[in-house]
Amino acid sequence: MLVTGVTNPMMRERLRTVYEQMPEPRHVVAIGACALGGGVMKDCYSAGGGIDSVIPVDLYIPGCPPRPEAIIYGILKLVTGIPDPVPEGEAVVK
Amino acid sequence: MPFGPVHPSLKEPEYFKLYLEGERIVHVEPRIGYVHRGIERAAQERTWIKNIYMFERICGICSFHHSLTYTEGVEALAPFEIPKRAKYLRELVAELERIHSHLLWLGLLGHWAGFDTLFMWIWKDREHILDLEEAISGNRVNKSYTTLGGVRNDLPDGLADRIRAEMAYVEKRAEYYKSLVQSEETLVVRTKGRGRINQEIARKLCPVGPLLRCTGIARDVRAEDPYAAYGEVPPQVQTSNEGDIASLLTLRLNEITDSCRMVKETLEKMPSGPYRVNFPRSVPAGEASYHVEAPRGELFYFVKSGGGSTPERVKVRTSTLANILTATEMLKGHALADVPVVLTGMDPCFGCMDRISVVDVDKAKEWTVGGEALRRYGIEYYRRR
Amino acid sequence: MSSEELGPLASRLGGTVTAGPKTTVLSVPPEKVVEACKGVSSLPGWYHLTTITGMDLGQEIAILYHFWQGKKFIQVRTQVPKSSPRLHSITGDLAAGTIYEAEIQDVLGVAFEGNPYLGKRLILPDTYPPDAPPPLQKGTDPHKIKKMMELE
Repeated sequence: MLVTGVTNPMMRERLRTVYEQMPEPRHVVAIGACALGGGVMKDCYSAGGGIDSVIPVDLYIPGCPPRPEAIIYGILKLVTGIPDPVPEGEAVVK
Repeated sequence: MPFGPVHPSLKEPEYFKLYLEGERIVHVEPRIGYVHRGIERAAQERTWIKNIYMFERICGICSFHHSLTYTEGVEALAPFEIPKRAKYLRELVAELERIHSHLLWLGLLGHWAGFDTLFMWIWKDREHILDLEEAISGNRVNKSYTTLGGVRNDLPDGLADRIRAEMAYVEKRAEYYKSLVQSEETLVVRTKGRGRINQEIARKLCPVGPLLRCTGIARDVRAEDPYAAYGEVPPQVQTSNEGDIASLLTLRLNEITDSCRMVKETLEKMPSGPYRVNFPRSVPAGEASYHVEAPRGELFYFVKSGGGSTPERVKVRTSTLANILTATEMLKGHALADVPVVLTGMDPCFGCMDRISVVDVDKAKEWTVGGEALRRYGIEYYRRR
Repeated sequence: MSSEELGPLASRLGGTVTAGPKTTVLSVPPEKVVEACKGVSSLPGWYHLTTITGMDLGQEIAILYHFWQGKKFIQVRTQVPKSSPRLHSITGDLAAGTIYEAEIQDVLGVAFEGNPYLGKRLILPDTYPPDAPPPLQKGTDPHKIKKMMELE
């Protein structure tokens, strides 16, 4: 799930709900300064901090806004870095 | 109907409650505030210059127009005269932003109508403009290009020729898209006669921008109340008499062509001289109302200074806020399948709806539908007809 | 030209006209505000309601109605005491004011009687603490608000 923007109180619950509805394996990418830590609106009364105060984040892409190349680079790093959950020849039972 | 995922990238959530009777919408209740941050309050604690960086991030699409209205409003308060070259440079970047905004909208409309190829083509063309904006200011979106006293930097050497070449390219593409939107069946079927408004509704609900001009009322802040260099390089105000989404397609494409002309003209007439002068740290006490023609319509700032280094009050009225009531009027009488296109037609700056609540008045049922589900529903609905 | 047009309207309502370079201000007492706005919007030419601004002046809250006709702004201006901030809504005659009044209801706590959003929220989050003062009133601390909404 790619997330941009501040965590406005109206969005926090929805963000949490959407995250919980995601099937595993799931990854969250915070894109842009506001999603990272509030950005330039950090001290505004209706803007929360970064989205990692609501849901766990796997990848942070800084920028305001991040360039498309930065986003692609970040997501590629995430996707190619994810280890194969089922090793060859073995079954994993949870 | 599944709950829609939160849409990232340029789209901000919005909530409309639609009341249906049978298949037709009879009443709409908007509830916004999903991206309400408290910027007007925070502005009171930031210096005059620092506020530029915050206001330009209100919207990523008309970012420059926000900082432009703010800086020109504060300069009017002072009162302060900026160099002529700075005014021309401001107009240049403002028109580039208009082109990119209209292209963005057109592509989005294609996407919501089920014409993704158009979306891809247009956004690829839009990259040319974004690259220009980056070459001028260093950032594709939040350019921070205008500042109190002028602009932050001059046009880099050699860029003028590149701008002219890109304008020629965009003009050619705009002509092609104009013929496309009038002939391509997917778009015509979904936009002709949809979201129709007229002058009576416009006078009652006071929309702004292309939405106002598509009813035939020729109001454009650039022409009526010139700012930057618009007194010397004025626009040719585009109108239509149809008042529907299809006419908005052609109107905005005509505005793109006109903006290309203005960009070339500003380059031609650009005076030499300084691009920036020093601006005092504190602004004399007073109040100023200032407005510009952002891509979506009139953008209004009210600035009050108490004589200090931070503003006492800044009030922002974005163009989309002025258009909400008209948008609810546009939706009435339409089927649910038309909602994505009609809503996008008003070019909402807080993007497309994240969630719509639908109330069936006859059956007294209420359910929620996500934006993506509604978009696919609309495409399927028209495919079956 | 605007000042002359407004003169008779002002004297009828017991208000004053102040002309500026870009804005002409028509100040009226709060109970005359609906009539003033109706009067301005029926002047020759179409007076577009641009927006309505609210400002906390300390003991009072000023409400400014900005109209644009094509050459100058006309601002209808009034004040209500902070102790009882209520005004009659203009939406009965000027539907365009609905959203702007609703915004002021949320951020300054002024009640516009007759506005469809009275008692409902337009832009403030649902979790905005009900006992906290409206955010744009002087003295409201944004950090306290954030703590109450658990944003800090």
